[in-house]
Amino acid sequence: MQIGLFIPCLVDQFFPQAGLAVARILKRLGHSVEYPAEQTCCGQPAFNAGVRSEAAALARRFIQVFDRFEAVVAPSGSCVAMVRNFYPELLGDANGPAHFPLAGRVFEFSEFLVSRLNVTDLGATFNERVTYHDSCHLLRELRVREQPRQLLRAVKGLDFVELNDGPTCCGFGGVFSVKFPEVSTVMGEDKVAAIERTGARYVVAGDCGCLMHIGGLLTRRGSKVRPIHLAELLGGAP
Amino acid sequence: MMRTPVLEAQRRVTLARALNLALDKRRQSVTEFADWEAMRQRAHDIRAGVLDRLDDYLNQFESAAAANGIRVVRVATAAEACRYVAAIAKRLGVTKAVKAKSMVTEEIHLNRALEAEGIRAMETDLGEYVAQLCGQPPFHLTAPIVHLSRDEVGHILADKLGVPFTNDPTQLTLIARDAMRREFLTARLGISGANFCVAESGSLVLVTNEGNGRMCTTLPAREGPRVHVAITGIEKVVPTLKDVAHLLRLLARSGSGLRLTAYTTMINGPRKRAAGEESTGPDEVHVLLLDNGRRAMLRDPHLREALCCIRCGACSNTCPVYHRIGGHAYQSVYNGPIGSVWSPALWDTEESASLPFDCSLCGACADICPVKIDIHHALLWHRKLASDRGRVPRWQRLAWLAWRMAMSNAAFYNFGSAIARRLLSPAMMNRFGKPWTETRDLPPLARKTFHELWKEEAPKP
Repeated sequence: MQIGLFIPCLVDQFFPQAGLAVARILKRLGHSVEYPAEQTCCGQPAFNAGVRSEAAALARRFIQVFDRFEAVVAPSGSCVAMVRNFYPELLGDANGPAHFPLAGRVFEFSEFLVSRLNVTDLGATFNERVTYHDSCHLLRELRVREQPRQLLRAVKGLDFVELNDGPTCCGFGGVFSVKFPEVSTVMGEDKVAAIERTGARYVVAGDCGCLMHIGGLLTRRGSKVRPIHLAELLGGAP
Repeated sequence: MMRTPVLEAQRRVTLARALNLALDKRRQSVTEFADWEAMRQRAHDIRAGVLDRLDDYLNQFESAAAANGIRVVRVATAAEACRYVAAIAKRLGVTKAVKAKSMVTEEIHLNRALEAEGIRAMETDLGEYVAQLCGQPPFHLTAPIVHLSRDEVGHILADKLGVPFTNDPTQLTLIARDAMRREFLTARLGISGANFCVAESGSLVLVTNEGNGRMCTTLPAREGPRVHVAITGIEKVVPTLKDVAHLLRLLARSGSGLRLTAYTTMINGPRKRAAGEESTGPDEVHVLLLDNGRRAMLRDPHLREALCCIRCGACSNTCPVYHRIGGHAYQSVYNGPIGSVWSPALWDTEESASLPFDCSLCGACADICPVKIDIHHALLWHRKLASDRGRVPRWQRLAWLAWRMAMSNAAFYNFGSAIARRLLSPAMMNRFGKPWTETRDLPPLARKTFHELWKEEAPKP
């Protein structure tokens, strides 16, 4: 399959290893992976800020860049939700939401593996106790709950433990985290406390925003728990 | 920079304990149904169907209620509604009224308006009563003092009523009951809201847990004419009693995990004078159907769904932001997630327009809503409206424009990445990112972006 890699801004800037891991895994499964270098941002920050005209310009650009691929895969639930769930409203008009075929071909990494390729065991080994944080957009916009768990449970040596906190938001929420830092921090601190209660060494998530927030709180409090993107955990060393 | 106050830690614990208890009980109670999702969908369809033919149902309700002897009045504004109630009080010559819990009367600030006319309205829902004693607005749609501990309620009653302090819930209830009972036995004006207005039968449906709503609507005073006024929003009409039965199964379960509230009251009209033996019940029942901005909501395809709300309060119970800031931080009668949809729709003010932004868009509210309102998507729509109406500051709009232009060209974007890596030391990042870095570490920018790494790693032919 001809797959286009969609690498959201946070991955590009802070967590490029997660993106490389996605590419590695997909190639290993025999797919041709291409990174269209002209991609930038999907427009979500502007959309969430209410500045829809700016977001729409980037949405149209995104569709142009990715339309030629059979499938588009991203290591982010949030950015995929933007394309699949919010572009139709963003690009729609008085007659209703817009329809564009690409919406049905954009996938988050774990849902692509499990639901589209029917792959759960990637042959990875990880000898640690691990918990999983449900990123809100992945869980509630894309309804991806089981896929990351299936992938984690198939990892050899991995001791999976549920977080049992709702699942509730980590407090990131994009611009929310800097616009309302106190509220965001308190939400994150409760999340981190729940993570620590599991006794896990690693907290896995499918969105780098959550990982950045949770990770920033973990290191600030000197915790030994490490955040890691699902793809990085599954992709292992190059 | 907007700073929403976070409740102090102890208050958060008190609040979380109460809200989580309600959530746990809800989770338990919905398992009684094989297909809760289908129940939610049906509830949504009932409510959305009403909105599609609102005027038909309102007319049907009005004639059915009138046939039962209820006077139905359409009121456009809060002021009009308040004037109507004050005029009844004047006609009756009373200076006090007893009130059942009603969010619509909070919305129109009825107590304040009556006060200005020399009429004292006494809240008789236990939570509202305590809130009124200490001059606080309700903290939660269904639980006005959910944030207070037993001890705090005990101190308020001791302080305001001059009774000995106790923190025993039964004793506290008896104290309040004692204070209210005297009022119930003499009140000639009772004020309530309505959870539903049934179009086919002209009935009002009220749900309460303490029975005081019944005291306010039956008015057992022996002397003089007695009047019950119910004030409710035009959206509260429901086609049939069967529909009400369905919605009732979801309402209490969603809010508190109860199968039903302790009391479900159906009011079909005033006391029938002809039947001489019928001694209880008011002489007149008036129903005010309030617009106050609802028709404008109805016209907006992205906001109209919010009119499906049955005021169960589940979205507040589950909202991670509400848990941390509490109901008073919203500075609006309608608080919590659905309040952030309603408030800016009803009141076009700077304060209410800012509410939809104080949300991480996690979507837990929409998932719990028994009538399936896409609450967080409506909040996104409000953000757009705020931006369209110029409520986003000019410098921010310009920043977004610049951002979009940079993002419209990969070369610009990558050049920006490279510059940032050259010029931004971790110390500068820390300073720039102050709202973040005060409480959280900011990871360093990756030494090379994905874009750069990809070019290096996979030099395609």
